[in-house]
Amino acid sequence: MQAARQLITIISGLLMRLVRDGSAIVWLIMLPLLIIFVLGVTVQGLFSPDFTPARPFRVAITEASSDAQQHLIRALGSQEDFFEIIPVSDLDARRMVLDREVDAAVLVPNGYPEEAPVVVSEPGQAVGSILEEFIQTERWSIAAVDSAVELARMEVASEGPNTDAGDSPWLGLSAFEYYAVGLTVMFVMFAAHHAMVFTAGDRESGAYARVRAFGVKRETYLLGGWAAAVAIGVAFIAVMAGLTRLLFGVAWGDWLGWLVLTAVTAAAMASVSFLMSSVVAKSSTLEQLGSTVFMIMAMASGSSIPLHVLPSWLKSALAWLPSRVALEGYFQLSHGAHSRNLAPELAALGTTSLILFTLGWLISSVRARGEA
Amino acid sequence: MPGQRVKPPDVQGTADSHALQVDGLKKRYGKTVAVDGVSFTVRRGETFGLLGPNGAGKTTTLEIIAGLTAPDAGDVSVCGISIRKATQQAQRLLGVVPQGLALYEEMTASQNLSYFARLRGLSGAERKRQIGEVLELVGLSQDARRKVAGFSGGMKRRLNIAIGLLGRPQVLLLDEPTVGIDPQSRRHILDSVRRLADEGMTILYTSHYMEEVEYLCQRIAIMDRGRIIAHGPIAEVRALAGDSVVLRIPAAAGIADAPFDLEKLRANLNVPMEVRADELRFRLPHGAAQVPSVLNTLLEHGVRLDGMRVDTPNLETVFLALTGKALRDPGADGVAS
Ligand SMILES: Nc1ncnc2c1ncn2[C@@H]1O[C@H](COP(=O)(O)OP(=O)(O)OP(=O)(O)O)[C@@H](O)[C@H]1O
Ligand SMILES: [Mg+2]
Repeated sequence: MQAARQLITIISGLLMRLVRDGSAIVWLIMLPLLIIFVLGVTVQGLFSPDFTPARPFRVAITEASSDAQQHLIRALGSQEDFFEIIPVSDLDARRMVLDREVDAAVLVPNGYPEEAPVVVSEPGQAVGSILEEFIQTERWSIAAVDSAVELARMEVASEGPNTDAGDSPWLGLSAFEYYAVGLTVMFVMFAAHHAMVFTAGDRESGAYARVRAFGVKRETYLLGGWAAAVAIGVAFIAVMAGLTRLLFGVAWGDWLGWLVLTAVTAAAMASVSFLMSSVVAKSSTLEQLGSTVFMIMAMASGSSIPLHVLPSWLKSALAWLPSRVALEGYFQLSHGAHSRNLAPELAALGTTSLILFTLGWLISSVRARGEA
Repeated sequence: MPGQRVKPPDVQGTADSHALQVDGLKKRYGKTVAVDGVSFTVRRGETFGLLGPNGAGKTTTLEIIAGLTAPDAGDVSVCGISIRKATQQAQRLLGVVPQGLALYEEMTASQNLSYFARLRGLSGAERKRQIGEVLELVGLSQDARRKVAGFSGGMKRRLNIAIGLLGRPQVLLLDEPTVGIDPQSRRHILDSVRRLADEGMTILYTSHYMEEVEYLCQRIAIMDRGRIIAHGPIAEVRALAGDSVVLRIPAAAGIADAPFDLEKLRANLNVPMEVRADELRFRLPHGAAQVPSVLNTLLEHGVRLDGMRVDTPNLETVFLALTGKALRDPGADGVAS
């Protein structure tokens, strides 16, 4: 009981210190908004529809016999930046989508090109609409040769779980939408880090000693710092989501998915910070280390440099970064994904949090051996 | 939840009159021996001074007493309760004022107090009452709603003390509470500490300022390199330097050019003489009563008297006598006596 009350006091104390630190608030909120605005206006051109995806989409295609079918497969395969083609049997194709072995499957009927291929992908995934556009263009070119009259009734049928892929081009995000997510993910790291820098400062000032002298256990304080970092992270993302929606009309998608993703994102970022604070005791060093690490993480995971201009080897090499996972999660929400579609992202961020937190906890405990 | 309330320790009931009993504390950090077998006792209602130069081990000793650092050996009993065996119970009797400013600059004075009062387990009207009390005591009632960032160094020090007083501790541990502040604030703090002592609070006061300890404390311990090198009532500790008074005669033109025979003078004196570049020092083992006879001898040998100074023993000279080094770094901040 006592420990729980102390924990709440510690968390709210840290929150209050950040809220009352006017310059920190201005820096944390105004700066990203300003950057979103500037980038949103200036680099809109980078977000035009003819951009390549972060990595080629893995597309399973049913084995073909006719010339027309093979032509389509070749055409898709020639778009190396967009598609990685995996020939499979008819039955395998759907299963691979459901098992997430591929991003999408294309079932090419024997009646192709008269009969429309079926595109199978998860809802909210851009790959569905991109494939459909591509196939339609392909059929158009054939149809143009064959018979212009046929054109009118050529509809691309789509079926399976793919219900609302939308008509957006690749990723289909405006620069505003992209950077609202990017800068939020970047700055949530700085925001959460404040709590850990505060706790490091407490050790220097003697405030920590004082807190402990008042009967607060070391573990309570440690947990309080981490929990405050998470709370600051969640609050920060919420504020940014609200403000970017208000100012730039950015839609953040399904609210439940957003909430869960926000919670695990904040937890993961707090845990990165928590681990750093277990290694670096000095508050000024911790602050600088945080700035450096978070800046690099943000750049490497697409917060500032758009993912699709990064070299593809780098993109895949850095896909594990929690900031990257969070970024992609939010992009999926923007495209209409729901919480259940985010299972891989949620699991990745949750696991990251757990591992980093545990590591930080162990290191802190070892380092605190002289403490009573 | 009355069933969960911890029974207040039976403070009056214990037979011994010691508020603090510090017994054989040892603590090392790697190769540094911070505390090396420290023992002393502080009586109920007494103000006890712990004196020592930088790095002597004062803060480490206080941290062990406060239950923040685990000693390698030894124990502390706070009103009969072992800090090692019943840490939280003993901590409830202690108030701690750390050497650093353990304050949150972003918050106001009363928000700081409120935060720590909550951690201490104070709630509702009791919290409010105690916050009012301690603000009053340190003279910050008028500034309660101001942000600490805007406080002067002295005000911060006072708030630092106020927080330590929350929960009405039996024993207050003050770790150099007057470092780096102006004379008025220092005076204010010393008077507040005295007031607390007059009200019956037991105080352990750490400092490297002699005059503070001489003003506040009845008994003291002098620490150096982790050990207590002298311990007892102030007068007794002072006597360790001998009753010797030091007579100092400045030589305006410098000793080297003095128109008298130093060796002849030394031979005719019945007290030891120390020759410095710009003054002569005489140690008078029988006190100031020996001054006239020394002056006579000097005049007989043609020493010109441009003035003189008589240094009576104080803790500074005690420390010098015991360790051969100055207690405070020359040029360090502080009010010279
Ligand atoms: N956490 C620690 N880790 C390593 N060494 C320490 C630690 N705390 C204290 N020491 C060392 O122990 C010795 C005693 O330090 P302590 O702070 O107790 O001295 P002090 O008497 O309070 O000095 P000051 O007057 O400067 O406050 C010093 O040599 C110090 O460097
Ligand atoms: Mg100290």
